[in-house]
Amino acid sequence: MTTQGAERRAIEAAGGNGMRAVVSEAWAATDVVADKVGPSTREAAFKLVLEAMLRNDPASPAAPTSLSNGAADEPIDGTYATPQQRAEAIGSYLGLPLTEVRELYDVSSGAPRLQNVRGLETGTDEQIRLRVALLVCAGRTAVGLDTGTENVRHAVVQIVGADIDPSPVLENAQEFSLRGGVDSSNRLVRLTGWGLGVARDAAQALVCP
Amino acid sequence: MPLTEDEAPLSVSLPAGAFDEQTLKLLEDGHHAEAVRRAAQLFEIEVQRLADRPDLEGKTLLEQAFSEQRPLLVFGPLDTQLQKDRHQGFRSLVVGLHRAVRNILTHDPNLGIERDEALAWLTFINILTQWLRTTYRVDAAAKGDAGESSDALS
Repeated sequence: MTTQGAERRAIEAAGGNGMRAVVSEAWAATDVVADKVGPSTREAAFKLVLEAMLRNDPASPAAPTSLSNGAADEPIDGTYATPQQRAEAIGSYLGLPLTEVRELYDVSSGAPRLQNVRGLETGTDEQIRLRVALLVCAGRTAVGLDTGTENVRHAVVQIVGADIDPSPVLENAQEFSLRGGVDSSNRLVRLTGWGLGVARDAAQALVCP
Repeated sequence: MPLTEDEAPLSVSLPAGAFDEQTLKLLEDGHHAEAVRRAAQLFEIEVQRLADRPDLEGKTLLEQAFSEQRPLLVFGPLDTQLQKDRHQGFRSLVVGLHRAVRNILTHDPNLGIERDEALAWLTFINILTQWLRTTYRVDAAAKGDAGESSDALS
């Protein structure tokens, strides 16, 4: 892959997939030295370029965020393409039998949605937001989708009818790691290792009271 | 998973520093299955660390780390069929390690394996670990804003 054709192929391969574009661009960027150095030197150059791009070096092409690549709610690969595959993935992630996964989540679309809210709406506002965030984040993470604070906010609105920004609660909870600018209206929400355990307990408590 | 005498691997020695002391002690104390299970678990923890995804575990972690379309870890570009084959083949190997070895050893504590077989599995896990450490993390989301528009998420 040392010609302009390779670069064209890299761009074509990028399509709607931003990550692939980053990797391909990094590789293509090393084309200029490909004929002058050995493979190991080119690989070292590739690594440096890729790392620079992922560090958001302003001189490099912008790396996409996984929430802004337009594919956030599309299944990755064929792994989570069917409702059955999505239910199995959530079951494996949360330690739930399939019947209980389907009780808790609507997996008919690519983005699982909470559907059984009994028990979720009890407690303080903070407890509700945390519990909803745990289950929304876990359901999406299990099928390879990122979660934004907007996903959590929408779910809270559906369940308790109150439109409250969940970010302040999530920021201070050890169950979550928030990424992205504090001024953003839609920050990336991820479970911590501790949060994964809490999410499993919460899900199992809801379906096996 | 006992091997027959004819199938038993030849004498295998592990590279120095390939495994932690506890895994080696389990092996030396005759807890062969537990040594392999622990090594497989440590491999997954290494994937978790390299991918910077403590929220993922087990099969979910491995499938997503080496996803075909949106991988978290890559060996390099995924343009040619050979590059894709390597990526997908590695994914099959590590998911297979989880499902066919770690899970089985975790859920069937009575399953005994001989020392030579344990050494062969540890060698396999060591090779996977060496390959794993040549991957690059692709986690653009870690760099900053999660996106200005909620439309991308709905």
